[in-house]
Amino acid sequence: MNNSQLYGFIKSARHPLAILSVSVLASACITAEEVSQRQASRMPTPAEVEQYNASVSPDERIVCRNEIPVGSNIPVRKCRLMIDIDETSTFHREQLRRALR
Amino acid sequence: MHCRLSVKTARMVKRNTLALMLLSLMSINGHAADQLTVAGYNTVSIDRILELQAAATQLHERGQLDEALAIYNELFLAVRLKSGLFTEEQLLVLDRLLAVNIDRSDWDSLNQQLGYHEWLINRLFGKNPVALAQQLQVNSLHRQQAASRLQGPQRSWHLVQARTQLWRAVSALESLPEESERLPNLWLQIANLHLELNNDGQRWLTSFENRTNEPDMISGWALRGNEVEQRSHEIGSELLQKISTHYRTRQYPSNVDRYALEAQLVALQGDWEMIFDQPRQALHFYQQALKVASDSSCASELRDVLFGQAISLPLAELNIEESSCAQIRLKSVEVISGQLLSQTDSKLYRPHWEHLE
Repeated sequence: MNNSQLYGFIKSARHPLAILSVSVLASACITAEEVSQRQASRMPTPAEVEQYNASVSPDERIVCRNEIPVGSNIPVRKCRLMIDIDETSTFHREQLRRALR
Repeated sequence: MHCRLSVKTARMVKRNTLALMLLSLMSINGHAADQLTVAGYNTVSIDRILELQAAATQLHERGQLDEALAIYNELFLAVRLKSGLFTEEQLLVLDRLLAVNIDRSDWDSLNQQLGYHEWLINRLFGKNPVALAQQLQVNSLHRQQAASRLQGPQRSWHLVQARTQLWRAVSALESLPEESERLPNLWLQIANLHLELNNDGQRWLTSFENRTNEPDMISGWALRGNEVEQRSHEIGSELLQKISTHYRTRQYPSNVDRYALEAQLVALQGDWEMIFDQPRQALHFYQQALKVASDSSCASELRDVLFGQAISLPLAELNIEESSCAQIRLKSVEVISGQLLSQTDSKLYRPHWEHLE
């Protein structure tokens, strides 16, 4: 179905269910390339993270967790390198120590 | 050239003692050492090896652990002298050495040998994923046995390492579609280890999982206990789902009741949710399991086996087995009308089927 056919179908459709089914069909019309792009850009699942961590050295291991960003109450899943977490943690501790002096 | 010199060096020490031989083997490069068998540098007879093996096994069975260890050490040396430093034959002896050291609670030696085992199998089976996966499972099993005798950080370290070895085995086998039948068992074992580690939500867990492969903890930021629990819950759910999908899309031999297997799996998913305090999700899975079981040609027996007896949670070990209706009927005879979920206070039980309909 090309775009003009799709437009004609929507125009002639009088029932909301038909519009809904068209929108579902349209959302399903993605290429294989887009599918692989989406898969590549999605966050890894916890099991995938653990499997990855098992096959790399400690320097390359990642930790994924839900973080609540500033200005929001909605947790967001973030994945970070363990060494980055440790460095940030040490930096913040140092900053706090300086501020308290 | 370097290789030739190394072999020549080895030839010169041929008539010397075992210790000197081993020293020279260690000093030459790996490639030359691999050639020793071909070159015929066998200094120990097969009879001697069999003799040592029999003696060590006997001593181990009798519980004379120190004596068994001494003989196994001698055997370990002898096998490597006979067939080369990197021979596969040593894996059998190494396996026994690991078992003796677990029995002796000699954790330092055990850790050293487990490290050697891991290094050796990676060297030997880098291009043979199936053999590598099998040996990684052996390594994992020894670590689990060690963990069962330990407490605190050492226990957690062994369990984390055991889990790591299983994930490596999964990674090795995933590259071979024809070996996919081996994966569900590994996934199930990993879920089991999550269950075991669930009570170890300590600060050292993050260190052992992410900061180091060594048994000594490195302090620093750590995941909170509830985060560890949530992650274990998610990983286990994902793995059980994968197993379920695997079995649903597979062909079964005629003597296996596919509904029995599927119902077991869905019930396990329910157990997992129950253990992690998700009763609604658990109920959903249990009802689904009962529905799947009703499609079996031995539906009532299967229902009794799965939901007609007191099954305390968590199960000692998550387990699935392929069974025929005849086997299920045999099992259902043993089922005694069990406690119902509502009758229990402190413990978790799988609900009785009457509560699910």
